[in-house]
Amino acid sequence: MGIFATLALGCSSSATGTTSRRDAYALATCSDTVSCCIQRNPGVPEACGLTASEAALYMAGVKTAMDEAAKEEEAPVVWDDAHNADLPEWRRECIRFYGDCKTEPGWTGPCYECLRRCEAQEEWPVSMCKPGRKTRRK
Amino acid sequence: MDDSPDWDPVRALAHSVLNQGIPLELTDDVRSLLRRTAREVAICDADTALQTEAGATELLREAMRRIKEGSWRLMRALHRMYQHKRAGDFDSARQEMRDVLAEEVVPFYRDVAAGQLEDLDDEP
Repeated sequence: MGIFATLALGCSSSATGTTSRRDAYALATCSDTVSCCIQRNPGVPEACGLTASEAALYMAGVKTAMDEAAKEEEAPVVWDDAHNADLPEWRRECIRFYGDCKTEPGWTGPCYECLRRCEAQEEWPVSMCKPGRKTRRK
Repeated sequence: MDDSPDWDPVRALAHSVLNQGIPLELTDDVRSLLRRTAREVAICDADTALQTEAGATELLREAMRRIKEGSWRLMRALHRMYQHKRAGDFDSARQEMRDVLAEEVVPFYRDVAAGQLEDLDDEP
């Protein structure tokens, strides 16, 4: 009987904010440090060491799937990531999990950091980013 | 209080031993880490394995396998659960978590699945 007795999860139930799937997708799929920085700091190009015009020029040359993601938002039932078809399946799954982390209510943890760790270690770090509880019962 | 396990130390140990081929040194700290991890992934009789470096290395390998496979099992099931919920199919959503509970041995992953299943009690 060496099985470790389980303890009730004590995770907090509050979400850190709900982000749209489009935003979650944009952050998950930005292609390099600069484009990620620009997308994470909309309207604040100086946060990324750029002027506004430099940021606009930069993003014009970066292929994101924002438009496709915007269409997805109109039809939210399916997470369509066909545009990631060139990625290995496990990486696509990491991105899907990131989308769940960012958009489903109650998740706790740094979703973006967990995505990067998922991509690095081929495993979503559930102990860092996990779904919370809608209700806590005694 | 968050009682999520901290698996970073054992990941680091696994990386050096299993990936880089650095021999496992059974220091008190390593024994303690492996004993704790064994509990967290429901491996019984860790003390027997910890008597030899070979046994300890196998224990480490098995612990990492359970952590990784459990993560994929749970995360995939959660993703499908959300899809079922969005489609209004709560029976299928519940079944995803029941399937995890039928197979999973790691208490932390089981707790997450059980919590999600309990939350679905409020749904039709």
